[in-house]
Amino acid sequence: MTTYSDEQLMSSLIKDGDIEAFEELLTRYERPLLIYIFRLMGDYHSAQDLFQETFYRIFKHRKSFDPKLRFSTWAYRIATNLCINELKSKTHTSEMLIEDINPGKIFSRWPLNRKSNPSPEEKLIKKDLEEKIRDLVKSLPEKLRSIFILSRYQELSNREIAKILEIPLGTVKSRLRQSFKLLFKLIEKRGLIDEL
Amino acid sequence: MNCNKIEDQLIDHFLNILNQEDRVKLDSHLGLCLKCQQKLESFKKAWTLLEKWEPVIPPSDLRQIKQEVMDNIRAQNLIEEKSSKESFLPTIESEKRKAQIGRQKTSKVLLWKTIINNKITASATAAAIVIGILLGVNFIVKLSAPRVAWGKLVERIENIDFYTFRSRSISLDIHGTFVGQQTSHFYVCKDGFRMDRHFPWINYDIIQYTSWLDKTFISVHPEIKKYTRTLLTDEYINRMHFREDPRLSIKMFMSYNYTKLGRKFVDGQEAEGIEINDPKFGKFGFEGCIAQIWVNVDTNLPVLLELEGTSGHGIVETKVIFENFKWNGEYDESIVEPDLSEYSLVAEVESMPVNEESVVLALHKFSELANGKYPSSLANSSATVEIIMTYLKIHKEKMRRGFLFWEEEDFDWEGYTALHSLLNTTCTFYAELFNTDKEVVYHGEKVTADDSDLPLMRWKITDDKYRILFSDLTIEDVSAEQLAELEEALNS
Repeated sequence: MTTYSDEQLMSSLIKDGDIEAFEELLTRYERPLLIYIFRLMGDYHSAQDLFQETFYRIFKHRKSFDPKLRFSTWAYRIATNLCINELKSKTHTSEMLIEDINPGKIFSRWPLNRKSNPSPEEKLIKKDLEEKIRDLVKSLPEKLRSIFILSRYQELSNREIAKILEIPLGTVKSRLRQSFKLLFKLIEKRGLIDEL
Repeated sequence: MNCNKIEDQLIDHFLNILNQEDRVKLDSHLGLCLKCQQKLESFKKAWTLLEKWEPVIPPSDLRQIKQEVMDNIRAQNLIEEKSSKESFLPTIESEKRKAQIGRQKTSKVLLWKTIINNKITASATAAAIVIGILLGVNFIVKLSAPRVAWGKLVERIENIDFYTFRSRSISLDIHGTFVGQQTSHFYVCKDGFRMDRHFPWINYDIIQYTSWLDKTFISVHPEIKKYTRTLLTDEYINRMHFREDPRLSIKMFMSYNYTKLGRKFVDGQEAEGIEINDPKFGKFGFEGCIAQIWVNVDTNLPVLLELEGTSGHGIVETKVIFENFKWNGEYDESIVEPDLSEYSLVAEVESMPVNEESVVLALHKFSELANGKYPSSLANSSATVEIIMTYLKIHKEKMRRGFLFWEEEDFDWEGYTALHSLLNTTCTFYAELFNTDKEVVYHGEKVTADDSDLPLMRWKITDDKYRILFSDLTIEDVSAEQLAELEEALNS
């Protein structure tokens, strides 16, 4: 199964109703898409719901998959649209949402990377820092936030991002620039430069 | 170069969107301008800072989320399959219904035979490909491959001491709406079995231990650290044994006529399948049922068991899949023995005998709880779900998280556990009448406790006598003519 490309798996799902092909796609994209949605929403519980909805839609609308697209492009597009709609539907402002979130609760379900075996103090510092970065990114307007996350964290190319968001390549670049400027201002304002 | 323009170029540098020409200009400017060098350092720090956000998802969360997605997708797939079948409308008469299911399923078998016998597709490989495309399954036939000795299957599985498997079930009503869905992992040994049940629709887990030696059925709620215990009678144990151990089900299946289905790959193993579609076959908690068993051609042990059954006069259709079999795996006693040191016992009840008194008591308790309504079906698969649905309705307003009425402090555990046990007994009573051709009919979907003198359930007791359980739960024996009159009143 792993030797098949994403697009071959999609084709197998569409033509033969191969549920195992779908399961393989889910396995491949579960981690990156869930992390992407979490970064975009800033809330793990919403991220879980929206992730499930993303894959439900992928399955439900499988027949409308454009074979000219990469599967990843299509999946990220569905996830982004769902998240942006969800963010828009919320009546609170971004700032209020940040206040509402109990970071301890969220991060208790997100153990820090154990590879480096950090000490308890290091863990606390890292957790605190991650929360601050999450708040920073969350302060970006939705349009800029998705682009920045796709580029900086999901490490997708600008061309790929343009396809996902269905906007010109130039717009991706200008919005990326704009998002970094805003983030830098906030980092300076909150005195975070010295945290490193 | 103008310092004001530099900021954009520095950002472009980090974003990797700076072209070569501008990069050269930027480098030469930075060599001369201290202010811009400082800016670059600040940007570098900010860029590095932003990199420090690396959420890690616990693998257990990933597993659970994946499981939930796949459960929903399989259910959605089932709905799509159903809506694509043109003749899925349920019929009231059970014979018609069974014949209908038979047609749907047999058509696949006929298709198989047709293609195999067709001169154009005489090659087995070609046939496999065509079938694969039509059924969405990868069929491969090896002419010289080992064969399954079906006659010895029962003997082989009876000699197994310990085995595990997973089951998934999805129940849909006539509109394709979920009425129940769960996944379970089973661990079976000679002393008993354990069942880890997950209900994706309410995201809740229950672990159930049945011990043949202690004659107990223990239901553990890990999330709230509580458990209930049902003391089992020997009579009940015999019935339960039959229902929960697929080896006994397979033994029973093999006593019916079956059709060979050919071969396919199941979880990467080459398997040979048979289908049981006998009109009398329906003992698995359903009123009408079709089963397929797939056996590994090398080990000659089952790898997949699929059941598709109807209940509640065709109102509910359920699909159950038993898979991931591990035969004769490593047996660790702690798997089937619960450690309840941190749990509190919230209810203990005794299983009731399978007789009319238990049926009356069960229906009375259920109707009390459900404002006069009776369970719409006495098929095991849907009655259990109806209990949960009824409790959901009652507790809807005060439930804290989703549907978890079990979490409430004042939850009536005794009543809930007793009702479960009683209704289970009632379903068994009904199933046994059904399977011994006693012409049993149950009208729970039409009759309520508020109706007067309507037949709720009836079955044959002698050649010309029927026993009727009325809507007020009184019992009377009547002739065939009297019964016809009473049932006419019901239909009018």
